[in-house]
Amino acid sequence: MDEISLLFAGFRAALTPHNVALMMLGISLGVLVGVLPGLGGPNGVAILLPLTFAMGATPEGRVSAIIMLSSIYWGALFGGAITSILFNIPGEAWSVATTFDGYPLAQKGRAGEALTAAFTGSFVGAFFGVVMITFLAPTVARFALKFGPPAFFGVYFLTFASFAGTSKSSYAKTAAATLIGFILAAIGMDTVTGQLRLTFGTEKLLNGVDFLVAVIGLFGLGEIFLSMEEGLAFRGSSGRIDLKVVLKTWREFPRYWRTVLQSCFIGAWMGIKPGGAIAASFMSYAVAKRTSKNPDEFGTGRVEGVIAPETAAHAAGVSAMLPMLTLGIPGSGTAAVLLGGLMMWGLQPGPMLFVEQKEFVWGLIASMYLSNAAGLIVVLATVPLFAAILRVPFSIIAPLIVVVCAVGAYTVHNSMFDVWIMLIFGVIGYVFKKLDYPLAPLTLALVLGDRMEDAFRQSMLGSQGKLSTFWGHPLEGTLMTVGIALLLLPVLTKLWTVMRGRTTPASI
Amino acid sequence: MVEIVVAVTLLAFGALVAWDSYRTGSGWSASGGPRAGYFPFRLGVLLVLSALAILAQTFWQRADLRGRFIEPGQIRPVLTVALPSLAYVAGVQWLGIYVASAIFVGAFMHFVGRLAWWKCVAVAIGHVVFMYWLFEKRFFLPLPKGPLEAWLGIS
Repeated sequence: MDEISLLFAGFRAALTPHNVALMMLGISLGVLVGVLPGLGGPNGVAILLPLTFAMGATPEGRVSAIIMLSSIYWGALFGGAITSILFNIPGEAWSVATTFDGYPLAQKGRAGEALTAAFTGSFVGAFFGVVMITFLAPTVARFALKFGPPAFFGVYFLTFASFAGTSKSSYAKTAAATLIGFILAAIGMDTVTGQLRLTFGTEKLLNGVDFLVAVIGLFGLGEIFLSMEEGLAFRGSSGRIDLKVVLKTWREFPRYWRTVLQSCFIGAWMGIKPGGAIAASFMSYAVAKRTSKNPDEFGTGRVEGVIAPETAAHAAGVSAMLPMLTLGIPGSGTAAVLLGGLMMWGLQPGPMLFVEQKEFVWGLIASMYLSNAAGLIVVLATVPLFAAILRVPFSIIAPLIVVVCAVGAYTVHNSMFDVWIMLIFGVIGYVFKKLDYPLAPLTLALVLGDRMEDAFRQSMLGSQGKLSTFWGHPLEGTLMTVGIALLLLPVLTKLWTVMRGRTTPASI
Repeated sequence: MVEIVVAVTLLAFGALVAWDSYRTGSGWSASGGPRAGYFPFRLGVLLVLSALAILAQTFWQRADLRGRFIEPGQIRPVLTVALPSLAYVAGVQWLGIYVASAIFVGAFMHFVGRLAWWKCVAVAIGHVVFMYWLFEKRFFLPLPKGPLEAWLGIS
């Protein structure tokens, strides 16, 4: 098979001492970022992206850079579980479900078992995701090569429409957040006509709002403000893991094969869609509970209750790379930032990557196998270290994170103006989180805005301005129709219940 | 209250975007193809509509009167990090990032965390030296500098 030989070439590219060192560095930084409140996958990668500018100049450098940055992503996925289990504080949104049974287990003195089970589940989930990418991605990319601008617009449209149907926030707020993202992306020089728009006469806005700066503010600073509200005092169980506990947990692990398998499928399926990891972890927990013989024991400290959300979150986090590599549409916030990195290094995300940048794509896929295996070993060995970091007083961690955010924002374009923008986004992130405006569609719109607009305008040019071009072929027609259905469905069901007089009109 | 203020702000922002895009040209150009403001104009109009929907919803549910944006006891801790952060960014502008960071971290640890002075000094100086090594020496990314660096002759 063609894929296998390309994969082995990828392993050869990824397995240099330099790249393995970067992988280890990335994983350690990722776990740190996942453990600390206020830093997470998206802004952790965003802050470290500027360090890879120089690396992006050569093809080998680009492979090294993506290996380091994606390793941060995997590390952050592992790290979220540590705080959830030991401190009952989810380091990441996708580890919220892990606290339900993880913390009770830790209180019973079985923290080592819970952590080992969570990490092992994560590893299996990730492995499942990478295998899926290895065999599915080339096919999807080959198919997507035939897409014209209208089809790409259809895919983008469907991506955003799916937020409206699935988001837990109110419909109008999801729409507002998405639109703000698109508007911010439109600021600056128009790529087609060269005209300035929405700059209001200031040169500073010439290049628009950089999404990296926005991500650092929204997720980094905003999160610190939120954490301060809770008045964080970490009081947690010790995170000692000895080899005996690990081996015992591994011996018992096959017993949970059903939970693991269904979580893998849920994760892989949800991960392809945007915002998947969080939804996948909750869904997988719920399914594990429903299919269990004793569902009442969930929440009191069942090992399955830890395995299910972690396996699904990792499977989803890894699968999020599939649409990013093949279509240029990131399936998660962190994947969106990685996509931004690709563009910064001068690569065009999308199906052409599989044709023009074979070494890059397969180096990345091979590194995903390696870094998740390495990650499992690293986290098992270093949990006590990271648990100790959480005992550092928050009055040291909070200002340091603010400094890291400022440095990260500055280094994107070496601009002080960006640091101010980051500060403003910090306040916006805080207020939006409190008022339940979703940040995920905002970020995604900010990343994809220009590409979506280009696809739209190219389609319009091709059809002399007739919207019917989006229904010109069965493929585009299906994408658009499903998208519109997803957009209208929540409104229609609401109207239906109101008309039946069952409920008073609540949120639309 | 905050809910309404945010919705009205979004409304105004949407209107501003729509107006500016209309000025740039939101229609179809003579040479064929949509003008620069074509896409943003429609986004602005949609944002105005969404903001109106949020307002309607808020008044309808009286949600704003029921839920409180922030508990009174939480305002202080949020401000204890928000205001120093603001001062810090202003400080970076004037003093450069190294001096501002050292003062910000040291002062925060001392006044908010009430930690021993030698710990504050150690972390304040230590993280700045590490930052200098990592960014300037290791990755050749210059960070903003101020009068102190000029006096020391570090560019």
